Amino acid sequence: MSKIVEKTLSFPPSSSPDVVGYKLYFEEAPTEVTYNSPHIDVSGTSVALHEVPEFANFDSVYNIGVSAVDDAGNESNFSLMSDVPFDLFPPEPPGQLVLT
Amino acid sequence: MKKFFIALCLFLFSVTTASALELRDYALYLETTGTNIVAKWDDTNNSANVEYEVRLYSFERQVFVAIGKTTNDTITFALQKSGHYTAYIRANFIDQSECGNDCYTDWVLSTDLTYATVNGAPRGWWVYGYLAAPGPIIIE
Repeated sequence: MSKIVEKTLSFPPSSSPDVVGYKLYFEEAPTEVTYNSPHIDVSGTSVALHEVPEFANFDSVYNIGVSAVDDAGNESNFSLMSDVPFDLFPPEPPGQLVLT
Repeated sequence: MKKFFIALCLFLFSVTTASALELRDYALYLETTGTNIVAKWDDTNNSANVEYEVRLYSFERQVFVAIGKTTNDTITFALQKSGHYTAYIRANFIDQSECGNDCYTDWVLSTDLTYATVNGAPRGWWVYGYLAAPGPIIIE
């Protein structure tokens, strides 16, 4: 078992009244985020990144974007953050302990 | 504050007439006042027995959204949901005791090039309201 540093992503909500959720898109930099990028669905306005399986091996610099989604599936423009360093991949443990 | 963006057009809107009503040639205009949309038309009937009924059709949800009825030549409304909408209008007799089967005109569609024009030229139109994006991302 390893311990991953705890990171939380959050954002102020969309001001539109018919928003039912959000989508968090991500791409390894320098690739820009698009609506075809990998994403996870977000029900609230914060995500504990260390608890998201898709981010378990993140160990690079990423571009991320969040869009609002309404009940018909329409999506807003992105709120973007570029060149975010992520390191959610724990190092290898040290070798066997030896008592001398 | 709701941040719907409204695609605005200035257009002429003619209504198919039912013979018993003799309703025709409305000039309908859209404006915005903050978050509201104002639809206006020229009340060429000028009759106390005529009211106008306006509704929208949501492409995404495939439902009609009733905007309202009025005897005036304007109606104000706000989009409650994002998406693409076309507009419909028809004229009705208020007192329908003597109009038989001709109490309403046909619905006229804002994308029907037979009737809709923009800036005087035949052209369909629609209204689009988009979702406001969430605020800036914070990671901590």
